Amino acid sequence: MIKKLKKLLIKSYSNNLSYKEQDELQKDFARFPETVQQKEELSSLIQILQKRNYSFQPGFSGKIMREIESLTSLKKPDPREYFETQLSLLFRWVAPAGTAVIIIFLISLYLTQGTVSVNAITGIDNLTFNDAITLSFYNY
Amino acid sequence: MTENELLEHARQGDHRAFQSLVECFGQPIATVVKGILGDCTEAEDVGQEVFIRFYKSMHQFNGKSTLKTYLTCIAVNLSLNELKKKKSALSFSNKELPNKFMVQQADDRKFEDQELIDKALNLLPYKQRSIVVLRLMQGYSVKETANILKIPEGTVLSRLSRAQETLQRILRPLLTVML
Repeated sequence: MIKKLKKLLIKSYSNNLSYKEQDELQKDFARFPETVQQKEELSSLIQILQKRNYSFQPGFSGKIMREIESLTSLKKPDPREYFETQLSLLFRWVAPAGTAVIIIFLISLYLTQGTVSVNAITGIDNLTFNDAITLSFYNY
Repeated sequence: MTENELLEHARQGDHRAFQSLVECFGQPIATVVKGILGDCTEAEDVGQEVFIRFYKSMHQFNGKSTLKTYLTCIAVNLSLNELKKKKSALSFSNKELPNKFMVQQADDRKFEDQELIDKALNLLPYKQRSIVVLRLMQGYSVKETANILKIPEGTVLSRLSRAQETLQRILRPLLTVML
């Protein structure tokens, strides 16, 4: 009974007791006068606890803003750094793909021509390495 | 500026508006965090984390609850997580409450009121402590407290009742002065 009364008492501080509950509480106060003292004690307890004001140390908001600024500066790098990062990321994809293409080309060349010589690559017979370089200069 | 206007400015990248929000809600968040964790360095770190999390998620805030309640939810969750990390060091069960300590507190007048309140809160199991902080110190209703902690209202009332008994025993010297 007292437990139920205590619950009502605590609930009454939320100001959301129904009429029935309010009536019940008043009747219980009349039946158990000692609970009136409990009500006063609870009021005092709430007052005591609400007096305890906690606060963060001075400069708290400044610390947070510094932290946030470092977060946002990490989010927005300068354009040159951004370009370099993107370029190196792109290279990680392009390099293996390019290597794979070259390997496939050499394999197909070997399979069709039976060799991977300079002659086979350029498609010109009896071509020395020096000729190939000279030719590439002329083409250039 | 109202808190909604400050929030709108902060969302548009105005850091000064965000700082004003931090200053505006610093005290209630300090009460939640330090009420649950105690006045320690971890509480300062958790307090910072609350506002940094809020900064990252402020675009998701839809205004269904008040800004204070939204921040309080973050603060309670982070504080309880922190408390779970060092649970064994901080919490006692109700049965383990050291009666000797309470008698000493009652007699020892050197203890400042605030220190006594801190000790009393620290002696509560953390589930009761979070309810005391929200319901009795921050003034949230039983329903709001239940919503923040995601527990039924009946659980809030029963834990509050047990916490109240413990607090009344520990804070007897302060209560007798007031009554």
